[in-house]
Amino acid sequence: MAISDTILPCGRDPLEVADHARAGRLDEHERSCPYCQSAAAEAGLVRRAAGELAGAPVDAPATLLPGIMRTVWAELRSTDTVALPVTGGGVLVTTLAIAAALRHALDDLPELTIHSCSADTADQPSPEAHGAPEVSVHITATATYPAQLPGLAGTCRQLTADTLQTQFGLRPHRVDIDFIDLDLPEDTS
Amino acid sequence: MIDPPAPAEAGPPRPRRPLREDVLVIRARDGDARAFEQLVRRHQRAMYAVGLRILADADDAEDATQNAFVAAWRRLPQFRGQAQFSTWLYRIVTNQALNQLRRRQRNIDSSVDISDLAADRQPVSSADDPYQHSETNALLSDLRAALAGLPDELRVCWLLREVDDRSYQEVAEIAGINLDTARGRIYRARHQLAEAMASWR
Repeated sequence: MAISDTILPCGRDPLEVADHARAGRLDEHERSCPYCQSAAAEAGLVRRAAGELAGAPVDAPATLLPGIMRTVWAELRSTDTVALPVTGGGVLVTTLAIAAALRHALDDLPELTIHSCSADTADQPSPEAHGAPEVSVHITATATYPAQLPGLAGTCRQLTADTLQTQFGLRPHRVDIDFIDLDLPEDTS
Repeated sequence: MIDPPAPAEAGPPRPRRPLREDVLVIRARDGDARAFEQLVRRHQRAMYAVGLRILADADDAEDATQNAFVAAWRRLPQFRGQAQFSTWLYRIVTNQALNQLRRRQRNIDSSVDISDLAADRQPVSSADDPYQHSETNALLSDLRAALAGLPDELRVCWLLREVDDRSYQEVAEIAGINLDTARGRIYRARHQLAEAMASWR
């Protein structure tokens, strides 16, 4: 779209002319108009200089990432905690840590990509838990096409239960899985 | 009953699959610091370069980039994918750098000297041809001097468009201005730079 204070005397938008010149698509007017030719030449010079600036080597300092992550880890959002079933009690784990362990385990399933994974303490423990701590897990994921979603959901539930048990001594109250999409093969045509 | 997955065989851990950026963003938004670390690794160089070009000082650029990523971490719960994650980051880094620039200008009461950019002054190594090498460095030197003469808002829009190769729409989103204003600033910056570097034509 043209802009009123930056229009060439011939009526063309100099940014469009420069873009056409860059793409090698100058039209008949732009090839013969002195204003357009001047705009294209001006843009060409500046673009060359910009290219040199873009190519100048710039590396992020080695201290940048550790500095950022130090703050991030220090500010990890506080979440609920779950009491682990250990003798003497007094051992808590955050639901954030539980979710991280589940994501790590589930990332081993090649047909599944976990998007979000959250763990919460169960409001009403199931009777068969006999008082053992339980957590509810909610997962959103995509599956690689073609997928057998019922079987994949079962594998995902089983691995979730195993991880909760082996890592934390916890039982799953329920494991809800939302398949939000399928990952289709890249179209290479 | 579904059989549990086979236990992993002994040996070195398998390399993890690289995750798509949108998945990393969702995970980071959920508070997954490891996913956020992956995002930082992917974008730190480009974001630091943006800060460096605006601030013309390596230490200030590192501060601005660090502050920007920490701000991004804090604001992630509000990020809903209305823009590309990289565009969103560009906007945060650009604002951090501009704020830092204004603070510095207030403190020293003088304008930034882009031509003093130490990190960007590394010699361009492309030239096996000494003449070309010398010419390229002279061109860069003149460009930096010309950039130093531009108002901040023109310089930032021009850098985003010409050096970082952002679209006009992205420049507008990053700078927080409308599309026509962004195009006008890029044009005026380009025109002023071309005039300042007229001897190269």
